[in-house]
Amino acid sequence: MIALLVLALVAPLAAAAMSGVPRGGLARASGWLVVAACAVAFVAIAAAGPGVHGAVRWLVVGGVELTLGLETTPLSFVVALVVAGVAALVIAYATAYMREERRYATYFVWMGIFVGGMLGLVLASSLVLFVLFWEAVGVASFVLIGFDYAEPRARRAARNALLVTRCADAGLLLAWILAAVHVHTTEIGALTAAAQSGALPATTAATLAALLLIAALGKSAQLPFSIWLPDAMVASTPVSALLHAATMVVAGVFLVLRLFPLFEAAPALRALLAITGGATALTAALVATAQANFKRVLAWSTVSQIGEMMFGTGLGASFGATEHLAAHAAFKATLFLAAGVLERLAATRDLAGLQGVARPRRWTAAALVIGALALAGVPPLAGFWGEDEILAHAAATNPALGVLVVVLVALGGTYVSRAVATTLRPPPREGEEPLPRAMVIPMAALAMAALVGGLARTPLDLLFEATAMPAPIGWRVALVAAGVAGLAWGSTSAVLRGSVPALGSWPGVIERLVEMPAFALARTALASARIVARIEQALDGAARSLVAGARSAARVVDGTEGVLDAAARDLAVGARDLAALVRKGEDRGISDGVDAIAGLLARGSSVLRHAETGKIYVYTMSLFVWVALATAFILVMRR
Amino acid sequence: MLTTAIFFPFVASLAVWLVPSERQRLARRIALAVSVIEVLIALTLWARFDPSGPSLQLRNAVAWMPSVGASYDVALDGVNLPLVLLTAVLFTATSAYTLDKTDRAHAEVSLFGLMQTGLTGLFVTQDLLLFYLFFEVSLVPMYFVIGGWGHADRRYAALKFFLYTRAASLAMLLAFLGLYLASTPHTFSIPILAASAPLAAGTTGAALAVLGMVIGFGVKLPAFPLHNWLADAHVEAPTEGSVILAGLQLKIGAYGFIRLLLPLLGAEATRWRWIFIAIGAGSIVYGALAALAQRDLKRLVAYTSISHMGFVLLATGVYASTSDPAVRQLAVSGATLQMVSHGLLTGAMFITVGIVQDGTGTREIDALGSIFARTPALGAVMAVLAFGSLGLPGLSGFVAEFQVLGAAISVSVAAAIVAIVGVILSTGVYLRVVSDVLMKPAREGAVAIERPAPREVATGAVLALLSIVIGIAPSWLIHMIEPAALAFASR
Repeated sequence: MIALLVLALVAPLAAAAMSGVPRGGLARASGWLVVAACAVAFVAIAAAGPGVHGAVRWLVVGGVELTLGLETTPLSFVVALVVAGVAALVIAYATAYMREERRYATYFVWMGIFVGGMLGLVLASSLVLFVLFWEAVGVASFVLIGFDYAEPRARRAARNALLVTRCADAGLLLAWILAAVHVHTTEIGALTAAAQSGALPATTAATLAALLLIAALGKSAQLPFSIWLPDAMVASTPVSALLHAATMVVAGVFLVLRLFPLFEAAPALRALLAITGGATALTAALVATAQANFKRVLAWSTVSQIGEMMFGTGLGASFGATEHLAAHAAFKATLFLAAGVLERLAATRDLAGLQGVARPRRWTAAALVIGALALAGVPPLAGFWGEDEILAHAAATNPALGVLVVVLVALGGTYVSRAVATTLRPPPREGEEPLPRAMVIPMAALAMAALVGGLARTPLDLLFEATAMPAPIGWRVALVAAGVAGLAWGSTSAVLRGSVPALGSWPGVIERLVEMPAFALARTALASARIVARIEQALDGAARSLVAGARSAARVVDGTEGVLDAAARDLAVGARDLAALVRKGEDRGISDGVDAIAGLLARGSSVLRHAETGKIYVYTMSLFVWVALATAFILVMRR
Repeated sequence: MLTTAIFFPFVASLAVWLVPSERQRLARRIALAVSVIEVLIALTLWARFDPSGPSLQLRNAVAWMPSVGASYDVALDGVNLPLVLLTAVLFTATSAYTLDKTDRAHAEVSLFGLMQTGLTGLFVTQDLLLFYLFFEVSLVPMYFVIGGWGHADRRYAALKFFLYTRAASLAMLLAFLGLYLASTPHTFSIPILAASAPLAAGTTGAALAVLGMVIGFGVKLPAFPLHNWLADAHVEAPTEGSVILAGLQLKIGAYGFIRLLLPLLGAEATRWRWIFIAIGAGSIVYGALAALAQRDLKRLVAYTSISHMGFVLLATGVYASTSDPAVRQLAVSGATLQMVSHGLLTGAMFITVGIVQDGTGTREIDALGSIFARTPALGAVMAVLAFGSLGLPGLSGFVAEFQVLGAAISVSVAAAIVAIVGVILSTGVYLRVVSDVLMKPAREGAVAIERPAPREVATGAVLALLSIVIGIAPSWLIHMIEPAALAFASR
């Protein structure tokens, strides 16, 4: 059975590797190759079922066993199916959407890595693999967001995305090491068991939970890390759809759900999770109402929806959060694929330019409406059940939190219906070209999933062995009413007033506020870097003056040496003169000897002068010779 | 065998002088052949090395100056064997890279041969005086390489490099002499000194000896604030010089901390542990920040070395802070892997930067661009190196850094957090390289990079591949290091 999981993981990665090989006409097949691989992965995971586990030892170092392993817990089983299924449809859509792309095959190579990485982290049973694939997803998102790298905006967005998520990844990098040092293995099961049994000291559990929280908030673009996700909208629409629905952003929530026992062992961090999630959900929902760009509405919507999942998880609604994760994947992918169609038709992403574009397009219009209804939590669509469950836990914790969920649903209805209604608003425009079927069918399939996803509730219940906690009837009515009211408000606003913000433009201020901490942080880093550069210059200046000082000292020494040299020369000349004198009267033997000594003295003094003038070359040469001699000596000794 | 490995490169490289001076290419070919043979010799050493055997193997000890207690004593252990292999590999890389370089080939080949002899000898020697000797042997040729084959500001860079390193070697020598004088009978033998620990912790002598070594190895590493020679030397050196400088010369400092300071002055080092941890973690952040501020690509890469080598100093401090063998083992193993990993990744990085500089005539990041578009192969290699250097799993840097961090986290969570901040900052540095050098379209009128010689790109690619091999399957290397690390740890 473990072989099936390996297959599910290897298939997209192998497809990615193979996509890079063919050239020319065959390169066109690369897209469908990756689609087929995702489908294979889906079937393999479904066939393996939950409860499969297999791990091998990778390394043992310092008493820590590092393992490589895969497993399907109920959670990872469901999420892996969602990932593989949504990815297959979105990538099928991309084969048509990216038809004009020059680097078509490269695009699908990275799509394959993106999906393979996400499946890897979902199925990983060991923290090593989890971290590996977590980073792989990050790098793939970097490449895909910046795919059109001649565009400065694409480069900037890609860099910000990786930089911000990696800031947060610091938490995961420390956490897995800390966990491994404490539990002596990298198996996630062992870690969660230790947290549940209390074998893990409370402070360690809290530290781990805090570190993981940071990582999850960053990957999921929660406050204060939200900044990167809306900017990442410059990416091609299929990438956005994957990024939001099935990979990357979902990874943060998955991390929290997967390692939830650590949060249970640390109540303060669990509360912090709920608070951050709730605050993000509310902020992002408000910001979404004021966006002028269809894709940015969806981006902020994702931040908000994921915030709601975090919020629910923090309140103990893990099951509801998982349900919402799956439902969100379906309806958000639907909305993104529809957005791609609109973009194709109107050549813009601005709401102002999208007015009425979807009106003559039955399928697109239907998909948009279903996506919007699901997002607004209208029963029995997929979005309802997760919201209901989260509402139940929130209301049970504190009625004020229940009100928050209701408000969130109302806001969700408002921003989504505003955007969707704009595209359906008269006057209708004529579509310019027939849409490729590869774009319509995946969109329709995802819309169907959003429509009937709610029916999958019973099997999910069974899988998690969880008794769902329905919200009390009063709250439930409030929830549905809020969704409908939001939809009504947003669409009315859009129909009557066009693409102006649904709640006024003040949420735009919040958006700028959200961006501020990240900018401040980046500025601090750059300012520190500049300070360091100054220090470097100062150090260099000191070194230069030292060198200059040494040189002038050498010159002084040179001068002294010159005097000595002159004296020596005088001495030599004197000696030679003396010798000349003596030669006259004495026999040649003595005079030769004196001559030789005088010559030696003269030569010696000049050699000495060279050696001591501070000329480092000569000095080092002498050292060099010494080293060579010593080497020779050693060699002789060896023998 | 070990002696052959040490002296073969120098002796064999002298053979180029038999070739007429106008046949420069032939001289380069000979150099490549010599370095390939040296790789084979190193591989033979590895094959003969038994990881589960005694701590010092293939030992070769001869009395050298018995009157002063110095001997020619060389041996392999788990910490120096990886470095011997790295030395052989990196010198092969530089020989391959310079195959077509016709500027005074004979002299350069001989200098590199001498340098390789010095470095190999330094890593395997078990005698302090011999260590000092090899230290100088590896230093002097580098001075001539920078001064003779370097770029515009080479004289200043060479002089600065030389003065800093000379000061370092003198401080180090004084520390060695202190140990020598304190031992009875006087000896320079490292194993004997390690066993007898002549300088007791807390004495002035021990403190001065540690100070001397910290200055000596701190300059070589280099650690803040002793690092200022590094940028100029790396930038002005010719590409092959930068590769050896970053890939191996810095490892002298790292090796000194791990292999000399800790075994010889372990007890005193414990008193210095917070200084080591602070400077180590500080250097990780400082190097990354300094790199972030650079506009010159080669200077940027040079500064990242401070950051990467900071991990070794951090490991030194962590080792000195604990007596838990498991943590100590992690520290030694992580530090050793970091030396190998940095040698491969940064060595290869300098090769690719050299290719870019040769192809465009500039190192200014603002003036560069379009590497991906013009030469996808070079771009891909550089991207892999950048992502490997920022510690992505799957490459060697990750395996090294997580071990050091794992050791650090058990001693001080704060230090680990500071180190991680440095890692994140270096993410910014490398992303800037990828985004502004590889992806950004080159400015109008900028010199387009010519298609580089496949051999040069392949040289970088092979080093990157080795890093990937270590990143994916590090157990062979860790098993090589493990017994030595354990032997250390239980001391």
